Amino acid sequence: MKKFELTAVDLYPEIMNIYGDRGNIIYFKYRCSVYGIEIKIINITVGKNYKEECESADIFFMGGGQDAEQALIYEDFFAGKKNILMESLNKNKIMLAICGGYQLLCDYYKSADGKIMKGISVFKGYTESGAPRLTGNIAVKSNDTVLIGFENHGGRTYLESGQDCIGTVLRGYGNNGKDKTEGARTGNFFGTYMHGSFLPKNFVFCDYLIDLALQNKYGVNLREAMEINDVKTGEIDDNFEIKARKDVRDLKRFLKF
Amino acid sequence: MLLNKKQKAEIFLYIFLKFILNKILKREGDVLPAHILRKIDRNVFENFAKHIISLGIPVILVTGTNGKTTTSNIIAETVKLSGKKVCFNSNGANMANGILGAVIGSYKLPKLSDTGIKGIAKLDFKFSADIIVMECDEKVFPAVCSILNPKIITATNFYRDQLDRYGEVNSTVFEIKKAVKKISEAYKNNTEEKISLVLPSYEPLAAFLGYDINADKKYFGFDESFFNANYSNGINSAETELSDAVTCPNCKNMMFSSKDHTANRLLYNFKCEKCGFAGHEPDIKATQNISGSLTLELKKEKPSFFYFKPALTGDYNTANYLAAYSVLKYYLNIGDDIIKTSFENFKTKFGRSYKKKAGGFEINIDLVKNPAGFSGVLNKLTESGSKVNILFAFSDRAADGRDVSWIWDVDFEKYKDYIENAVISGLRPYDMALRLKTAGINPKKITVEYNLKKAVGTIMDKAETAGLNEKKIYILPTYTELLRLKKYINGIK
Repeated sequence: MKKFELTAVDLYPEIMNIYGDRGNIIYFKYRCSVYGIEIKIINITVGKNYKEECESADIFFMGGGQDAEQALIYEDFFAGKKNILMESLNKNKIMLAICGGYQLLCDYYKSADGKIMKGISVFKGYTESGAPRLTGNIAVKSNDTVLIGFENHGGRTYLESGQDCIGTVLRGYGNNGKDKTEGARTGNFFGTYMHGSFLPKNFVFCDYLIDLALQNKYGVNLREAMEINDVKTGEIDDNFEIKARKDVRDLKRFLKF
Repeated sequence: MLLNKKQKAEIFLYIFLKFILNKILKREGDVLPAHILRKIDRNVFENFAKHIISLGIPVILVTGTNGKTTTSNIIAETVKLSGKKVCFNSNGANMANGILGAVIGSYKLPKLSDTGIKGIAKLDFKFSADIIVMECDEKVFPAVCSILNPKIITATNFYRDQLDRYGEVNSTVFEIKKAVKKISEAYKNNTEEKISLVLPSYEPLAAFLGYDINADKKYFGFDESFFNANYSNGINSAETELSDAVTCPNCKNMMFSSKDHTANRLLYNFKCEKCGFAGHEPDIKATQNISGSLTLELKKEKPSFFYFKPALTGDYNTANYLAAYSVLKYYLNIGDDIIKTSFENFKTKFGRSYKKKAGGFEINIDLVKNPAGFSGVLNKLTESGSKVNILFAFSDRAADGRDVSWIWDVDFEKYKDYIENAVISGLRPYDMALRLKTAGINPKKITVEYNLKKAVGTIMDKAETAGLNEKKIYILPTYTELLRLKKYINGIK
């Protein structure tokens, strides 16, 4: 019997996947399977409304695209997906948006030629195109964990003072290379510049997302779900995950695990 | 045009520096001497290019994400076999310095017996090659193209590569297109002559180089029947969910919707509904791939055929053969018998479908550097349907790309059941280990060994113990690991 089943919606997977961002959903699925949680993945793209599919979602994923690709989904995103995402935000559902996806969740994006592309304002803040690209390994302190990844973005994002970020930059550039903030969080929606892929690089954060999703859907946390599924903590093998983090040589000194 | 004194001195200096580097310091290559020359004389490349152009030496440039080394080598080796002297960067040094080095290196002094000591003393260097074939990195292509003025250009494909080095693939392609367009315009009012482009029919970004341009174009591609001879592993690596060009490179409109493009990427028949940019019917296509024999069909009123037994397997190598054949047949007028001999006996560069028998094993080495190439290699080595023992040497040095995210775009899930053992070395082995584990490979079959030399021994031991039919190992290194491997593999007997 399926005790727990989560539905993940992958937004524009064939368009918004600039560099390995699909690793997030692949790893999320793997991690759920470790805990005995069933997972259903629905790919959603341009054109149709997909209202039903979006309503069934517990978590949304969206990556970044090249400029041309982002322009392509822009209209569809506004017309077809904006409302359902705002509703989902209010229902405490979860979203992980990377890079270009993250920028679309802010107030607006100002391109190099001054053109403004509105975002859906889940996060209060805006992005300005800039040069050079901010590229390299990044470490971010988020509560008591250190998130790591690889950033590669031309856009500089400036958050309003009341807007939560996901952490403080220990090494790298983060949102804009200046104010030491990285990413943004509103409710259970997260935006970040970190590729890596992000979730396999940060299995603790992946567990946190699973935990949030379970609480939201079933009112149990991950620990309780593990008990119900009879999965022991000791059976979870994080050896590769931990060592993969340690292999990032220039971030080593920021990592506790 | 004659060489001036400065150029003679530069050639002399180049030879001198190369001698010190290669013979005294025992280091390979000609990049450093070329680098020094360019430091001393900013226009050195342009000036030598002018000399070559004045001699009327034809230049062929090969660029693209995957396959440019192999394609350019196949072309160069075949031209050599036809009796011509070729100047080419066979060592894979495909940046501006490497290409300049290869050019200057082709200037030779006349034989003492021909001119006597006087000729030598006058430093009467002559360009010794009949034709120039260069593999060129995508990023430096625009600069090299405007300097060398190639007569023939072939682009293999443009897939996502090291994003941190190259930026978005679209912008790279736009720069290349601009450069090609510019040199094509020199022939605008010339009815006799044009530049020639050899492009894939199935890959929109490379094919886009041929759009709206004054050039003679040949497109190469595949016929459906090529894929009918079922792969024993039942996997067609050309089928992929990942797309590298979902937007029309011409008008930025969407070229296909969602899932339709999961079809075969080598048969991809693209068409933009908005501006009309579309794939071309191939002028030459691979039709049959049966029991080690490959058929190429040339489109004509009455189609003609070319049969050969390829030395290189894997569908991506078929694409390399197609590109090379198009250049050799259509533009260099080399006969089929010479091409056949060359194609069937072609020996790859180290790390490109490379094979060596050593230590009682057949060692196979294939460079992996981006998702499309990696998936192609995995398919090739599991094609026969038997299980394999693989050593991955995976690093994130600058030349490999600092971002390792790209392995999440490789379709390991498709091949998980074919991997008997995986040993992983390099600087980022655990990222690869994690990727394989997530793809469904039992962690017990995954061993990390940071030391490359030991790792080769470990995979041999594992392969021995696994007791598969053939004693074979596969090594898949990223670029810098390939260089480290070369020293070691050359040493074992």
